[in-house]
Amino acid sequence: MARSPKVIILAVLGMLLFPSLVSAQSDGFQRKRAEARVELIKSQLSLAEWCSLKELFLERDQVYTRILTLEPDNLDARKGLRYGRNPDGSWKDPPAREAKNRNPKGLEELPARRAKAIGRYRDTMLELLASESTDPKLRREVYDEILRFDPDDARIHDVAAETKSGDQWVLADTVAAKARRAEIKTLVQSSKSDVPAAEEAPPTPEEAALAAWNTAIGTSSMRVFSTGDEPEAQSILTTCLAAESLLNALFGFQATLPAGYTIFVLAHEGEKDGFIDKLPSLTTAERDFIRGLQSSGVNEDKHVALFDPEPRRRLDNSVRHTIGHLLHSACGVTAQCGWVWEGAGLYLTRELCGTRLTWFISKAPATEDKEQQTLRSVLLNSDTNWMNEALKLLDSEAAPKLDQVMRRDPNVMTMQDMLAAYALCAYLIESRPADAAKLFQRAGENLASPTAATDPVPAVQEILGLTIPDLEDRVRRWLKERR
Amino acid sequence: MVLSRLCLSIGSLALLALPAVAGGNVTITWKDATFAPGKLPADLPESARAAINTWEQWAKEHEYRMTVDPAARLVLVTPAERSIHEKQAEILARTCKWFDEILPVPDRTPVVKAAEASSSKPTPEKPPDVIPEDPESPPAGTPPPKPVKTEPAKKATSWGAASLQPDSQTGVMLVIRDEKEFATALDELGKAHPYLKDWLASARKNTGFVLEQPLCGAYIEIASGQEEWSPEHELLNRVAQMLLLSRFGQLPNWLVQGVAWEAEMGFDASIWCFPYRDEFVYTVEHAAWPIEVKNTFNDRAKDPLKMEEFAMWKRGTYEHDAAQTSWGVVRFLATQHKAKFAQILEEFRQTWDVQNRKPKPDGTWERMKDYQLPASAQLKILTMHTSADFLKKATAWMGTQDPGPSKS
Repeated sequence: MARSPKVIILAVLGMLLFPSLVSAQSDGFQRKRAEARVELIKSQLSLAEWCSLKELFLERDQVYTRILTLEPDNLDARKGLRYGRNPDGSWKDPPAREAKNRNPKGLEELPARRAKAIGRYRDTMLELLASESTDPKLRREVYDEILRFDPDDARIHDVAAETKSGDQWVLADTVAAKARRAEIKTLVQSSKSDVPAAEEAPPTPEEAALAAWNTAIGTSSMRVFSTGDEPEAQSILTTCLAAESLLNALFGFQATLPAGYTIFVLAHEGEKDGFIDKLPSLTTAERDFIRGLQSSGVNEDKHVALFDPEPRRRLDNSVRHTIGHLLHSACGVTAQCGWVWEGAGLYLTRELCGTRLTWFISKAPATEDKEQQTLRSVLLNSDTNWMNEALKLLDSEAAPKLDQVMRRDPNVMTMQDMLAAYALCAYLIESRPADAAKLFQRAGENLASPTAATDPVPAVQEILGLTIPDLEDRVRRWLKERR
Repeated sequence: MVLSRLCLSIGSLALLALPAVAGGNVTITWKDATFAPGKLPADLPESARAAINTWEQWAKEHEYRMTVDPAARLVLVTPAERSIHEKQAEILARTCKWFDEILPVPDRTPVVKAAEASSSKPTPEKPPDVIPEDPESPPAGTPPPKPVKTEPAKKATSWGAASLQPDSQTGVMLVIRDEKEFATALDELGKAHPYLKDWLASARKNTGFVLEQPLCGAYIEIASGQEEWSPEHELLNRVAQMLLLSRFGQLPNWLVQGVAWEAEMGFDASIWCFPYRDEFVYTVEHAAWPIEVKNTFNDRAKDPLKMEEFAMWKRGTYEHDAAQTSWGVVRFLATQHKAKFAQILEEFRQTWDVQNRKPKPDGTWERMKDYQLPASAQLKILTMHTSADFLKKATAWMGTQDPGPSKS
């Protein structure tokens, strides 16, 4: 059926109009900015005159120089800096002179004068930025321009979420994170030391039949059965129980471990197959799947079995699984919510064990993508600095979009997604723990609502007050300042 | 009675002429003022203090005095009883002045490395700023980081293979009375710098040396068997070598000797110091090199100079043809490319620094003893700063000019 000519014409017009509307919006912004700059130059020239009057000659020259960054041929500024003209009309550099501030009292008045001279332009630009949908780069460019004229402009630093640390302006998140990192370390220590003493916890006859347990210890919250030695079992028990205390203390959760939570440690070669064969209620396919893993949920994922031959990997595995249980208990987050599951899981495991050896993402090992494989081998190296790798990634053109990362489950997450999720969770846990808790909870709630689960943008906007590009910008800058 | 008075007078004169170390102290002269080692002036640079400190005990034991040049770049250590030290200090100052005019401090901006230039590879980017994984401290249980493979501090692994910040040391030039004291000076060096052990054995067979690390030189004032010699030339030749070493590091031997001889020619149009030459030098030869070089090259238009004729002349040897050619080429550079001469040598310094690195299995590197820049690399630097037909032009110039001495 043929479309009516009117509809076609409107559609064509729409196509033509849309880009021009976008362009008009941008032109409008630039036009208003140019108008505001004219006023800014006037106010800065007045400031320069005041500086001259007060014998603040160094400041005066700096004001003139800044004016030239806005209008390179400004005659008053050129004259003030004693430029001359060459015969061809170009500017002739002024003779060298040493400008000094000769009035200490005038210097005391300067900050207020400087603030006044930039105030109008700043207010105009902030209004303009609020009314227009601008990207973070343009916004930052405007902030930086204003800060060139008054490095201590309080309003700009406020809207940019910055605070003064020493003599530098940095993100308030950066300062908060520094303090929080110390708190996290203290919490980890106290969580471990507050774990109740382990007691003997004899396995049931069914459990006893699974393997020749050498150690069976536990508390009221969890048990560890191991074919290995008691110190290892004790370490696993302590660290997993510390994970429970840590999560609750960090985020104000009321997370609990599953009733009767048990970790089975198969410490020796040859014990894995016998254990798997004896697990009840599994199909052959399920048993074969578990045989391919180094650790696995068992008994409908209520308990955990560890098969890795290396003790430090077994500890890491046990803690990652335990954190998974706790996140589910507190927020309803499951492995489907990849960014929290992997990002927070890896971050918190490292805080508790010092390692990041358990990954749930499944795409990378099978992928033929060379970049994936390279990043995988980089991250598997225990010497790799993940924060620096994350910064390199987020600073690159290949930086994953955070809203995409927040939509994916571990089955489709890439190595880049996992690394970005790790950095995002580090930012949230260290800088904004209360918001982190809310976002994790929202992520869990969204899992129950498939429509919401695919769109994390509203949650980010509502809880963090940031658009996704703003969040990406924030995490990037935070990483740079994380020193 | 009269005789006894005369004896008394002579005795008094003798007392007055006693070494300035009477009382066991070394006299140090700087800017016309004299100081004791413990009372050095506050404005004397630290590098000069270090140099004085290194040799103070030896000078005290063997009765030597020290004279520091006004810019504190060199310390001259001479026998305390010699009246010639003022003349020597003057030669020292004059050589420094000549050297700075011919070879001023160059632009030290790193040049494109010869190896990179030849392969047209871009200069590697500065490594990005790395943020720490754990700004405060790592979590408990974090495996300790493996030692990072870093480039070791540039340190000599054998004598003559040093690589120091240019113009950073105050050099010491020892003018030594005899072979016996020369041996004690070498012992002193060996004690302070064990890495010189291998070198010391060969140094004992010679009558002088110039070292980069520590920056010092020495020669025996009157060695046994020396016939044709000039104390002024001995000093200025070695001072020129030391200044060259300080400013440009380990240059090819032809440049070192060529510049030192040019310094001698600049002094009084003659050459008297021939390191490692063990044949008799006729009196007429001292001033004959300009005409001899002209005669050598005046019919070489169809067979222009080749780098092999002088560029790989080994240090520690004397080859007459290579020696004269070296001086001729240096004079060509010093007069015809004076504005670029220092920059050429700076590129020699930087290229040597980069290319003289032997990688070790652990990722670090060490210097190769006696490394010399290949002739091709030398030619590349020379042509880059002058012209593609550098050798042809040098041949033509040396064969047609009858150059007088450059001014000093």
